[in-house]
Amino acid sequence: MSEPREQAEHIVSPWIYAAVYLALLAGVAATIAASRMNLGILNPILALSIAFAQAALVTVYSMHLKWSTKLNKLSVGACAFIYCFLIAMVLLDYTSRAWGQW
Amino acid sequence: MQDSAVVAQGARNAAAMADHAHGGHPTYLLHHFNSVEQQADASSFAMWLFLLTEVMFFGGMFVVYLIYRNWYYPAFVAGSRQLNVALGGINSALLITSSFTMTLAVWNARMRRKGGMILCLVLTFALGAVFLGVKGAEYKEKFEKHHVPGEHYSLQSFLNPDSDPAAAGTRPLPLDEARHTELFFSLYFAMTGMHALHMIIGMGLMAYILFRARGGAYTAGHTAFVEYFGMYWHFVDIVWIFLFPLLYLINRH
Repeated sequence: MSEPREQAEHIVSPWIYAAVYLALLAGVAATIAASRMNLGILNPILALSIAFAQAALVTVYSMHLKWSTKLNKLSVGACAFIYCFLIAMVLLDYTSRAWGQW
Repeated sequence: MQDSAVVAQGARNAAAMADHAHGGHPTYLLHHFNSVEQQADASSFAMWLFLLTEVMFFGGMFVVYLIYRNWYYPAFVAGSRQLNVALGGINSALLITSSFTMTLAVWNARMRRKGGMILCLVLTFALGAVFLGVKGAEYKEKFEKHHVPGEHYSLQSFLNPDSDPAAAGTRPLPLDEARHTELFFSLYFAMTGMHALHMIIGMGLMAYILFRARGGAYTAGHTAFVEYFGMYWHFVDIVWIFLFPLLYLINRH
């Protein structure tokens, strides 16, 4: 479906952009509404989940990654993986130290 | 441009080099590429790589935020409460709308509609300017309340919340916790400031694109520069999508 040649020629329908736009606005409203509810530990998790969903919509549709080359898709995937990996490593160090015990 | 390298690419390009005309291929195809497709693949890959370094750049600040937020949670809650959710939400909507008009500008460029493209770019520029105006009003309020980190930072709103309408009714923080609100505002200004700087750079580029677009530079089949600028603008939008809940919406229930 995603031949490298496609990006140069593919013209995305404005209706897709409009749908993404409405979904993003709904995401902002949902984020604010969710912050008003007391969900405990789930509050930041839900807020970030909505943000990641919004970011994915922008990346895939507005930035045309869906119609981009496999090399570009792989690069974005690798970036996401490495960034998560780096955060995990930092947090591992952070949580496993004997804070205040030296 | 090394002539020898071009000649080596084959007879077709060599023939084009003879009179240094762009015979048989579009003028925007640079001589060191074999085809328009190859040029598009290479340049879009370069743009993605640039944006991925930007992810790492902002990502570093998000990690600092994550750790300090866990460490000094009460101070971050009190600091976050000083931010105006309505203004932050309006700014989110403004930036998302400007992203939408940017996608339409790219679509118009690809459809070779000069007027529509310029209109969409002007709208994108204007929405970005209003965003920065709202951000400026928010910054001004922080300066007035001495919530800008530094020599004149004031703990008043956090030690004595009832003296500040924005903090009224909340629990006063002990001095050591209150002092860490300065850390929250340091991150607030660093992250939103760096985001605003990206927008200002983006608006400069947009002015350049608008200037060239009037002559039809992007509506004659070669839209790469507008598309890559659009990607940059969407990236700035994504950063704000994360900044808004993380800075404005800590423990708001």
